[in-house]
Amino acid sequence: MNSKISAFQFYSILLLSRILITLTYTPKYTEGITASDMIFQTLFRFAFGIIITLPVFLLNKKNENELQNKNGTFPKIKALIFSAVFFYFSVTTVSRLDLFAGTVMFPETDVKFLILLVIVLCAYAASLGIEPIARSAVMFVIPVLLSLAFIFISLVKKMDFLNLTPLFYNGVFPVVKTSLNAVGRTVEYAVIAASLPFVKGNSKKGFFIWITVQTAITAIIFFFEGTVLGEFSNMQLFPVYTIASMAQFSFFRGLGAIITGVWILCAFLKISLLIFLQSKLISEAFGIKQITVTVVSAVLLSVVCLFVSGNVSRFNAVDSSLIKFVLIMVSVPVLAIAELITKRVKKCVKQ
Amino acid sequence: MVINVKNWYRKKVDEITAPTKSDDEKTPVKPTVAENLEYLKSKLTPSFDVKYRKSEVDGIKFGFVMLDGMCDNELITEQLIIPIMRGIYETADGEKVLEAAADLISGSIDKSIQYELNASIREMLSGSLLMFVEGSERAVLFGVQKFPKRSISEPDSETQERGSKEGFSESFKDNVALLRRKIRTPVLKTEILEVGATSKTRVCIVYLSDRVNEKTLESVKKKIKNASFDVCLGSGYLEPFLGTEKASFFSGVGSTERPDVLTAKLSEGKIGIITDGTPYALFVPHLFTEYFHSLDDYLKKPYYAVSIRLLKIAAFFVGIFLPGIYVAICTFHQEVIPETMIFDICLQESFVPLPVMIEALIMHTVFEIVKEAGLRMPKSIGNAVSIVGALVIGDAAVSAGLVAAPMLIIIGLTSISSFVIPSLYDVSSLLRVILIIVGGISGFYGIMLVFATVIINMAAVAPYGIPFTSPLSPTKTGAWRDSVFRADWRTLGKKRLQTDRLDK
Repeated sequence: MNSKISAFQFYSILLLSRILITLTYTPKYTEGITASDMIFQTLFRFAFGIIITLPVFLLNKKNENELQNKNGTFPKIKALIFSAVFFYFSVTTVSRLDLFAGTVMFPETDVKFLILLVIVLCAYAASLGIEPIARSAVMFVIPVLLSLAFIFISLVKKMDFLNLTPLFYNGVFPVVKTSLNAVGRTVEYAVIAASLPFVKGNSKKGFFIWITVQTAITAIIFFFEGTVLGEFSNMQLFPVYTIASMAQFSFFRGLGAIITGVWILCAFLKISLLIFLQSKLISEAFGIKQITVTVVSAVLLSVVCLFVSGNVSRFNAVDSSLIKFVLIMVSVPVLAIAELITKRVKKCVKQ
Repeated sequence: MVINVKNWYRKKVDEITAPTKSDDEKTPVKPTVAENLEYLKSKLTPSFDVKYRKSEVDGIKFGFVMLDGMCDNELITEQLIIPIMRGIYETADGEKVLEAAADLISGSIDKSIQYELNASIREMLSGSLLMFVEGSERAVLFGVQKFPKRSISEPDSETQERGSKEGFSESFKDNVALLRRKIRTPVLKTEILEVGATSKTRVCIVYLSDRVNEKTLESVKKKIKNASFDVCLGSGYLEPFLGTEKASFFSGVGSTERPDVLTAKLSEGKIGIITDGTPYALFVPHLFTEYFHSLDDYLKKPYYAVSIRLLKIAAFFVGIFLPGIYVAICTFHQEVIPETMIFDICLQESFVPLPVMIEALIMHTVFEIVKEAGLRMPKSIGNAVSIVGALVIGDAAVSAGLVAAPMLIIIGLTSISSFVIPSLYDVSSLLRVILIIVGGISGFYGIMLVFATVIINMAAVAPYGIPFTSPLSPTKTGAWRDSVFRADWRTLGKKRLQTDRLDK
C-alpha cells in the first residue's frame, strides 16, 4: 500500500464493519444465552479481542511485519492466508446480505441481480483504492451512528426491564462460547493484522478507542434488543431488524428501512475493503496487476455467492462459526506469534 | 476480441477525423517590406478584413498590416500613423528606424517586437497593428485592439443579494482588470498560455505568488499545455484536462462568473484560469463543500449564513433523493409512511395506469424537456412554455388521471430544489434518474447502494492531492469554521484558509 491512511480513517472503516456484524447477527450463534448475558458477553469479547491482537501489535512495534517485504516465500504465504480469510468473509457478508434481502426485503423476488450489483459496485470501489474507501467511511460514521441513535431513542417507550433475566442464567460456559464465536466472526482483527503497517498515526491508541467504542455500541444494541424483545429475540432471524421495525417516532413508523440503509452502507464498505485487501496483498506478493486480481476476486465472489444465494442450508454450511474462528485464530495471533518466533530464532542463530 | 473492437473503433474514428496539429513552422521576418507583405498575403488571402498599407518617409519604406474591425482606427491614425509619418529619421538603417519609430509611439500603447512571421500573424489576428520597416529583420506589434464586446454586467448564473453586480465578460483583458481592481498587490501574478491548435486561444493563469502551491501551479500549467484540441470555445473545454483523471460525477474544478468569488478563491491559495472569450473562470483545487457557499454568506450574519448553507445542503439532497425515495416507498416500503398519508397516496396512485417508477421517469423527462425548451427559446416564448408546462402538462395530466398529484408535487419540489445550486444541476439530474430506477427496482436497498457508490466516487476525486471531500473527510476540523459552518468575520478575518493544507 503506497498510500497510507490515518488511524482515524482506518478505525472508522472497522467500526462500520463491526457494526454490520452486530446488526446482522442471528441467534444461531448465541448458544441460547439470555438477553442479559448477551449484553454481558460483550465484555468477554473486549478482553478476547485485546488478547488476540497483542502479538500483532508486538510484531508491528518491532517493525517486523513480513507484509512490508516483497521478497521471499513467507510474505507470499502470508498474503495467501490473508486473502483466503478475506475472501471467505466477503462470501459470508454478501451471502448474509442476500439472506436478508431474500427473506426480509424481497421475499417474493429473486435477489441474484441485486447481489451481483453489490459485488460489481464493491469491486469498482475497491479498484479506486484504500483512500476513497477510508474517506467514505469517515463520512458514513456520523450518519450511521445518528441513525442508530434515532432508532434507539424511538424504542425507549417499548423497553421493559422485566425482559432482562439474571446474569449467567444458563451458566458461564455458553456466555464464553458465544463471545469466542463473536471474536471468530470479527474479520476486523485480521484486517488490522494485514493493514497495520500501512496505517499512519497512533494505531494502538486508535485500536483501544475502536474496541471500546464498538463494545459499547454492541452492548447498547443488545441492551435495547433484550429490553424490547426479551427472550423472543432468540426466535427472530435478524433480531436487530425486528426491533427497528417496531420503532415509532412521531408519525414515522417501522424504522426498519433505516436499518436496511445502515446495513447496506456498512456492507458496501466492508466488502469493498475486503476485495481491496485481497487484490492489494496478492498483487504485491506475486507482482500481478491489481485490477486483474480485483476482477478475478469479484468474479469468484459472484460465482460462490450465486451458488449460495436463496438456499438457507448452503448458507448455514458456508457461514460456519468454527471455520471463521479457526481462520481468525490462524491469521491473527498464530501467524503473528509464528513470525515473531521465527525472527527471534533467526536473530539468535546469527548471533 | 477486445483489442479487435478497439482497433475497429479507432479505424472508424480515423476515417472521419484529422489529428489536431498546430502550425509551428517558423519563418523569420524578411529584411524587405515587400517580401514580408507577400508572405502575409500568401498566408491570409482571401481575407477581406485584412488591410495592408505601404508608406514611405524620407525614402524609408514602412509596411502596416491590420485586421479591420478588430483595431481602433482613430487611435491608429492619431497615435501611430501620424507620429511615425512625421518622424525625422536621421539614418537609413532599418533596425535603427524601427526602434526610433517605435519610440515615437505613446507609452500607453502596448509594443512588442517579433522576429518570426507566423507569430506576428497570430498577434495581428488578435487585433494588433503589425509594422515592418525596410531593412529590419524585426516586426513591431502595437496593441490597438478595439472590437465589439459585451459590457460588464451582472452574472446570470450567480446572482447575489448584497454582492457586487460585476461579472466576468468575454473579454480576457477586462476580466484580468476586474481582478486587479480587487487585489491591489504585486503578488497577483498572471501568466499567459495558448491552447487550441487552430484557435490559439489565450488562457491566463492567475494566482497569488505568496500562497500558491508551486507543485499545483506547475501541474496546472503542464495540464493546460498538454490539453489537446483544435479550437477552444469556452472554459469547459479545459475542465476535463484540469480535473480528475478518474471517471467521476465530479471533476474537482470549480467555475465562477464572478470576479469577487475568484478573488476569494485566490486568497485561499487556489489557482484561477481565465479563458479568452468566455465569462466563466475556472479555479483549482475545488472542494465539494464550496458548492454550498456563496458570497452572500459572507455579507450576512453568520447564523443566517449557516442556516442558508444547511438549507442548500437539504435542497441538494431533496433534489437527488426525493423522487427515488418516493418511488421506493410506494413500491416497497409503505410501512414507513403514516397511515393517513399512505391512504391518500394510494388513492391517488390507484388512478394512474402506470407503475410509480415509470410515472416518475416520464414526469422527470417532461420537466427536463420543458426546462430545455425554456432555456433555448427566445425569452418571450419561454414564459409561454412555462405556462404550458405548468398548466397543461401539470394540471391537465392530474385531471386526466395520467399522473398522481403527489408525484407532481414531488417532481416540482425536486426540480426547484435542484436549482438552488445551479452548478450541481447536471449531477443531480443524472443521479435523480438513476435513483428513480433503482428505487423502483430495489427500494432503499438500491438507493443506499447507489448513494454509497456516489460517495466513494466523490471521495476518489483529488486531482491536486487535495481530496474533493475535504475538510469533511479527511477530517480537518480547523477548516470547519468555513465549510458547512461560517464563523464570524472577527474570527475568520484573523487567519485565512491555506488550501494546500487540506491534503490527506
